[in-house]
Parts: sequence; C-alpha cells; structure tokens
Amino acid sequence: MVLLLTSDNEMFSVAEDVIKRSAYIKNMLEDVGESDLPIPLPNVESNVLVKILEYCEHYRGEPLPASDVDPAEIGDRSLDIADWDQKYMAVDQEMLFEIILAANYLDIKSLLDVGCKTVAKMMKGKSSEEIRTLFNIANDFTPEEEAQIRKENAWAECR
Amino acid sequence: MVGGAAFDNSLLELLNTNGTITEGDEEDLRDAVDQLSAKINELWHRRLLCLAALSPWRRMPAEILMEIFGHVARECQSDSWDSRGRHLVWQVTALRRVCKRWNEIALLTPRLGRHVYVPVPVTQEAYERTLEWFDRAKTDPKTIIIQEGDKWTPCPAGDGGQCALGSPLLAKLFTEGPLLEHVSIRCRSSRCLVALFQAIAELKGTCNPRPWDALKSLRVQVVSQWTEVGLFNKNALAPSLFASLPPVTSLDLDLPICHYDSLSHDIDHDEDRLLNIPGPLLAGLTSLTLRCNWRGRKIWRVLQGCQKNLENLVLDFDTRDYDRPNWVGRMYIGSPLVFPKLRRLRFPRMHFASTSLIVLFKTPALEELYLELSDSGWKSADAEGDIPGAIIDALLDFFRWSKLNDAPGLQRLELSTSTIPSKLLHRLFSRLPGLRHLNLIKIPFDTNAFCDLMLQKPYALPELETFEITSPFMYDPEPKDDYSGLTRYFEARPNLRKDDGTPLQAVKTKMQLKYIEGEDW
Repeated sequence: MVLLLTSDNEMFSVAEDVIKRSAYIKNMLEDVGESDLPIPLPNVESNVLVKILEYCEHYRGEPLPASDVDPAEIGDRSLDIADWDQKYMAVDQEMLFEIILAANYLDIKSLLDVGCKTVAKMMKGKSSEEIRTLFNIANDFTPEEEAQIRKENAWAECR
Repeated sequence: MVGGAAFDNSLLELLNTNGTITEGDEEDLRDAVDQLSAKINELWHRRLLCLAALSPWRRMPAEILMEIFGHVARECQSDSWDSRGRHLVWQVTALRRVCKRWNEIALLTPRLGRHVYVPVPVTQEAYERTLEWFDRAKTDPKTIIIQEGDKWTPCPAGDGGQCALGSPLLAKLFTEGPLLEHVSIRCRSSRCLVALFQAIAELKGTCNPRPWDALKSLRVQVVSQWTEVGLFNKNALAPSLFASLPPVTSLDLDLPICHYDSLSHDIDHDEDRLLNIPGPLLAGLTSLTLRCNWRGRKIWRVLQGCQKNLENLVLDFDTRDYDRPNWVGRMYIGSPLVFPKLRRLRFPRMHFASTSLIVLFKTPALEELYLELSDSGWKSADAEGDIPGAIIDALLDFFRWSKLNDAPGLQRLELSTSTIPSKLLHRLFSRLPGLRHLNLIKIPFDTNAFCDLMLQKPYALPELETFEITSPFMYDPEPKDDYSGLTRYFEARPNLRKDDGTPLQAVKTKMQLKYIEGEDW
C-alpha cells in the first residue's frame, strides 16, 4: 500500500497498482523505494484525490498508455469520450478544473486528456462572450483590441 | 434617504396602515426603487468580478490551455467537410477574443494554425493572412481547404470563362508558400481542376520542391460535371487529367455519380470517364479512398495499380440502389487483387448482392474490416435463395483466402446490415480467433440464440476485448430485455476456459440505440 497526504492533511492508503497510473507517483516509488512515509501532495485536496482515485480504480489492471504516444495524435477516434469517462466528468465546473489540475500534477495522461476534451467540447461552437459567461472570465480587451482580432480573421470567416 | 432609519420607519408605518399614499410619497418610493435597482446592478457586477477573480481558469497553466485549444481545433476538423475550414477560423477567433491571456496562448498554439480554409479567388489579403496563419503552426503539418462554387451553378470555365481555382495567388500559395501535408479541394467540374493545374504549372516557384510537388495527401471532390477529354488541347490527344496530380501517398477521390440510363450503357467505353491515373502515382499510394460508382474495368484497373504498397483502402461504390447483381460481375473482369500490406479495408454503402466482390481480394495483413451492406430490395423470405447464408459464405471464403483465420488475423470487424440475423454470425465468429474489437450495427438480434451458440465449445472470439452493438430505434422496441441477455453472457465470459485452460478475455461492452444517419425508415 502507498500512503498519500493531501494538502488538507488527510491521509489515504492506496493499492500500489491503482496509484501507479500516476507517472509522478510511479517514478517517486521507483526512485525512493519502499517507505512507510506518506507521499505529500500539496497541490491536491482530499475531495479531489477521492475523485482521482475513483478514476484510477476504474482503470485498474488496464495497460498504462505508452509514454511516447501523444494522445492527440491517435486520430479521429480520439475525439470520442468513453461512456464511463463522460459520466465520471459530469461534475461541477470547479471540480472539473481541479481534476484537470490534479491530473496534470500527478501526471495521469489519460485523465488529463479526457478532462481537456471535456472542456473543449464545452467550448466548441460558442462565441467569445458565451465562453466568458460559461467560465466567469473577465473581458480585459479594449473595444479597439477586440475589433482588431475580429478584423484579422475576417478574410476567411464570412465567405 | 433610501435605507435610512427615517425612511424605513415611514415605510413600515405606511405598510401597516394600508392607507392610500400621496403623490409625493409615490414619487419618493419610485426614486427609492430606482436607487435600489442601481445598487443591485452594481453589486451584481462586483459579484461577477469577484467570481472572475476566483475562476480556476486563472490557475490553469498555459500548456493545459494549449492542449484544450488543440482539442477544440480537432473538434472543428471533425465537422462536415463543407464547414470545417470556416468553423475553425471562426472558433479560433472566438478563443482569441475571450481575454488577453487566451489571445496570447492561442497565438502560441501550433495546433490552431494547422488548418485553414482559403476562399477563392484568392485576394492579396487572403494570401498574406494564410501565410500568417500558417506561421503559427510552426513545423506542424499544414492543411489547406478550398471550396469552389456549388453543384447547381456550372463552372464558368466551361463557357471559356475563368474558374476561381485558376487564381494566380492560389497557384502562388502552392508554389511559394509553406510546405503542405494535405490539401482538400471541392469543386464543380474537372475543368476547375484543369484551371488549377495549369496555373500551378505556369509558376516555377521559389521553393525546391514546390509545396504542391511535395504534397503528401490530397482529397478531391468533384460535385457536378466530369470529363477527361479535350481538357488541355482539343486538337491533341488528351493527356491524363490525373497526370497533373502530385506524387501523394494518400489520395481521396470523390467523383460525381454516373446515372446509368440502362444496363446497355457501356461504361468501359465511356471516354468521358477514363479514370486514367498514372501507374507510378498508384504504385506509391499507401492510402486510397475512392467514392465512385463508375462500374467496370476502370475501377479494377485503379485497384490493380496500387496493390503493392496500399495499407488503407476505402471503396465506396455507392451501390445502395442497385438491385441487379449482374453488373457486379462486370466489376471484376480482371484477375483477383492481392494487397500484401493492406491493414484497413472499408466498404461503405455496398449493396448486399455485391458482397461476392470481396472474395476477389486477398489481404493477408488485414487488421480492420468495415462492411456496410445496404439492404435495398431485400426481403427476408427471398425466393431466390439463402442470401444471408451466401453473404456469410463469401466472407468466410475471403477470410480463408486471405489467411485471416490464422493468428494474429483480423483484429477489428465492423459490420452494418439488417440482412444477416445474429444467429448466423456465429459461423463468422468461430473463424476469427484473433478478433479483438467487434462492432455490430443494425443486426437483428436474437439474444438467446446468439448466446447459446457463443457458449458452445470451442468458444468463439476468445481474444475479444470490446463489443459494441448499435441498433436503430425501430428495430428493437424493448432493447433492455434483449441486451440484458448479452450482458449476462459477457459477464460470464471470464469464467469460461479455453482449451489450454486460460480464461477468456474480459470484454468491454457498449450497447446503444440511436438514430443512424442516412437511413430511410
């Protein structure tokens, strides 16, 4: 078992083959060897780690993706999100982003890929104003700057 | 004063009495409502600012945003061919206009600069913007998408006019622009292509090789008129239209449908449709998609020419509407085809009566087969014989002839038909020991009979990893009952043992009902 200590000081005891989906933890275990000391995860809160472990548990036993394969290059099929992954990602926006950040920190490529695809699907077909509203992003452009960007791409947009 | 103690007291007194109010009171109250509304708006705005400040997007590292933007670009590419190029430009603009940080990150995301739709005729501004656009892609492979006209209006080149594809700046892009991976051209007639080829030929270009000559992948869709005769010089023997194509390794040809007035029309001697693709080009192809219903020797000759190196082949004869199998016989007058390297073979929109065609393919390296059988004219009580059985026999002959029964054999099979009942499929499956992925679409399912057969020893599909089944709504009014039997079978599989004592592979299943596009119910 591997001990993990979250940023809010909660301790988790996790089976090694489950958490090895995280390349970060896997490398750490290989470097440090067996130890009773917990691995601190200062960037991950306990509620997020619970969610991350749910993902790792679901894919327990499945082969890890080859590290040299860019998931983005797999092809058109990579646009699909598996049914289970879609349900897993049906969380509020705050949690979705926390999962993405944690997947990035823990280096779980497949989870990061699913998270990015989920957000990409939320953005697709939306205008800049709709995206700002969706994600609570402030518009810090002056009207002139915004018009300039629009003008830059007008040559191909309206034919 | 709104909110003041004196105001609140007089308001409470007024409300407690239910008395009438004076004109002066009414004016004060309306002022108070206006002031409170303004305050609510201000607070709401401040709340939005606080939420924006708290937005997790602020903590999102740039490399993750770039990854997300890359997925958005891929999503746009999966749109229909007509709109994908324009959607991408529109979407990139939308992403850039969200905020300054996003604009900076979008400009640094090569994936967003890989594809561009170039409007024709190409203006000087469009030419320069295209180059700017591709600068963002850095060394990533680049794609140009061009769409000229529509199928309802003829190309002006037919009347001696200028086709927009003959635009000198478009030719300049192909001769002096950045190196390109892929070009997609949709145009009205073969004359449009000639206009483009001639414009390119006239420019030597400043690059060696020219981007056009170094192109790796080309898709050409001609939607309306086709002729290969008299295009270059009416008084001379016409050189092949296809001789002007660059030596690509991936070619996708979507040619206008030929309407056969009668079976006596002899396509083999139709000089407007020569399909005379040069041998060296065919021999160098690793990927070919041919959407073309020009039956006869011409298609066969194309296939013969690319046997040596082809790895991916999509043959869309669009034979859905033909219910006369005798024309198919004309298709393979030539010798059988051997594709030693072919890994993926797809037959979309094939009439069930044409399935025997597949027996003439020998594909020992085949890993994936997609077969979509159209059921036009099919009746389950067909008096002409056992058609489902004949289809299965043809597929089994193909598997045997290609040695796909031996390991590793066929890895992925996608079968779309309502002609073959599920119980017959066991005959196929028992001959595919290496199959890992199975997708069945529209198959009429009798779960009990199917599962009984699958439980017979030796177990079929021992290496299966994923099983998908997609049924159109109307075939199966009670899908849950039907699929639950299948689910039980797949749950039981890991408990079954092969002859060598090892358990059968656990299978991931996906069973769904959905509307299937392009079907008339």
